[in-house]
Amino acid sequence: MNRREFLSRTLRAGVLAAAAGSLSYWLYDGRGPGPDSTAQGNLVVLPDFSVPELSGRMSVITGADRIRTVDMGLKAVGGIEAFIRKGDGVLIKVNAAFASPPILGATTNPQLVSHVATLCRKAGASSVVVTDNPINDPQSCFTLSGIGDAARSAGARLMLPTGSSFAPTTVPHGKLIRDWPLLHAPFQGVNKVIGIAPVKDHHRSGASMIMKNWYGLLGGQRNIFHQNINDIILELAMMVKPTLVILDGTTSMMTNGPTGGSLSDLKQTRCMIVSTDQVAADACGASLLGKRAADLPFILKAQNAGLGTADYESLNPAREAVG
Amino acid sequence: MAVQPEKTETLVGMAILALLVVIAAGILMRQSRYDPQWFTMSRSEHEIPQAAGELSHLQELLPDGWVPLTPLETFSPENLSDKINGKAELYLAAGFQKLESQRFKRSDQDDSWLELFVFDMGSTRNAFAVFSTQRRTGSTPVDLTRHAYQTENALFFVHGRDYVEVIAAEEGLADEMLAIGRNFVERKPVQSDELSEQSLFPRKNLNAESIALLASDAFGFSRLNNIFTAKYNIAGQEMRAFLSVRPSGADAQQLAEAYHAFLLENGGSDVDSGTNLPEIKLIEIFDLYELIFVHGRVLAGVHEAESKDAALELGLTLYRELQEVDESQ
Repeated sequence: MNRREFLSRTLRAGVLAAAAGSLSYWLYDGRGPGPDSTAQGNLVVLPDFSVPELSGRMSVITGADRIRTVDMGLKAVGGIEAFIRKGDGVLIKVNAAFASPPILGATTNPQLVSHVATLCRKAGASSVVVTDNPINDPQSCFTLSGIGDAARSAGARLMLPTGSSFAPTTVPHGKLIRDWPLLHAPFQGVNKVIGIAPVKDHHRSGASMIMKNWYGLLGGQRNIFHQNINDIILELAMMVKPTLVILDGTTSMMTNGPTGGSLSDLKQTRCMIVSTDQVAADACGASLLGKRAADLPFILKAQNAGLGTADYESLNPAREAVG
Repeated sequence: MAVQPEKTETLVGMAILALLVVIAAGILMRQSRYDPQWFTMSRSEHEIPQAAGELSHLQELLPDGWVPLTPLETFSPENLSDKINGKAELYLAAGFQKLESQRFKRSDQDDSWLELFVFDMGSTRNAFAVFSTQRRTGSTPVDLTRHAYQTENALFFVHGRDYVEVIAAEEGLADEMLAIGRNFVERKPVQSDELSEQSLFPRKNLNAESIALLASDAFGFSRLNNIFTAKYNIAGQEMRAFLSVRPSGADAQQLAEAYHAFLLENGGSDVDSGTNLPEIKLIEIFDLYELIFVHGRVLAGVHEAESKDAALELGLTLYRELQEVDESQ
């Protein structure tokens, strides 16, 4: 090989390498894989379910009887009729994450679900859907937690997730929830959303309350979000703007959350929080766990994103004690 | 002078290039239809298939009158969070390898049930880490293994490399849970589950049930791993002693210095210990006291003492204990 041929071959090799590199760069998707790139034109976005004229309402009711405290709590924020009107389609997002018995407090209390669903129907709701995409097998979770029977007994429709229940969503301005499967089918015909969650310690985020509970609306391999727990909770709160939230601190899971396992993980904190501000509800719930809002970064992030206030006292919550 | 390739070489070269083009086209086609959900194991895939009527080995532990409520489930590090969600990180950080779980019920009572969890943690040390960091206060020790206790509705114990939980859906099943525990222990003989570090803590003022092993991120410092802690009550003040046997004295020294620097970076300030032991560092941080020292391969100290005197009292007791252990060996 002579010098001229060497240079010529080197040049051709260089051009080939540059072409291959350029092609790779052109094909590179820096955003990463979505759930179904063919459905990008069919992204769903949840509407705003809040009632603007009822914003900033909150009640904190003390007592051991959930039915009485939630009744009082709802009355103090205007009554269920202020939120649910005749013909409304209501979705109740519960925490049915685990196939765990009600006494362990890892899931939403079934009596509370039944009662709120009944109130919605009495207020004129045309349909009430109870749903969640649990961590464990959905059938077992709804059966063993007692939520399935509770929902049915109240005339609500129980919707367990199936493969066709999901549609891709992207949270506007979100960095994590992009083209990600959302449990969307239960939202068909729904114009009001109520979140009901227990107060729990959480090994990763420090607490699992209202905002963390929206995690059960995600599908796919969502456990990857645990590496970025505070940001995913923030984006969940950005994704769901509920009509009303009910944070059940009648019994709080103080340790070993989110699963618990022992009755000794629980404490009778005797508190029911009803609010239209999910950030305020979580901030108040944090105090039941002996924490401040400042101890839980996701609360401050949500406040900074304009989703509500961590200074729940500024809402002048109605306070009552029953029993 | 250029050498012209033979016809065969040209053909082979063309064939290879054609093959590469086909492979590239295949990759592009597959990638354009990528859906991460396809790569998530379905529940049915991560459960061990169990034919109807087939006995699982956990079922063999049951007392009379109990039958399976659900099939045996098995989870690996990749899908542990499908079972215990956010708590999975605790187990993964401690070396988790496999979980087997199954629910059982009374044969004549559907709502009387319990769930058995067997976490294979890879070693007694790892099993003790998850056992001790979740230990419930006010629980009742059980004469089952060296590390075992029960609460109103649950039984927790370490046996060899396994951390076992038996969780009932109601109170009043203590006998049944214990029977399952005893069957488990009897059917699986193991070596001694003694962890040598536990005996290094001074006995005086020690809450023996409080000894815990923090697998990672101890006291909020990411480099502080494999740390044993124990609660002490001195003059009405509660604090924790800690110790960790490191691979070498140099490693222990390096870690001590890093932890010391971490405390100073986070608002701590050095305080004169008033002792003639220069290796002891005393730091005041947020109105609490941290004490750190290295003895041989052991990094040790006191965490969150309310007063300087209490920190020093416990720290010096621990220091002397480690010296005595050295001298006796």
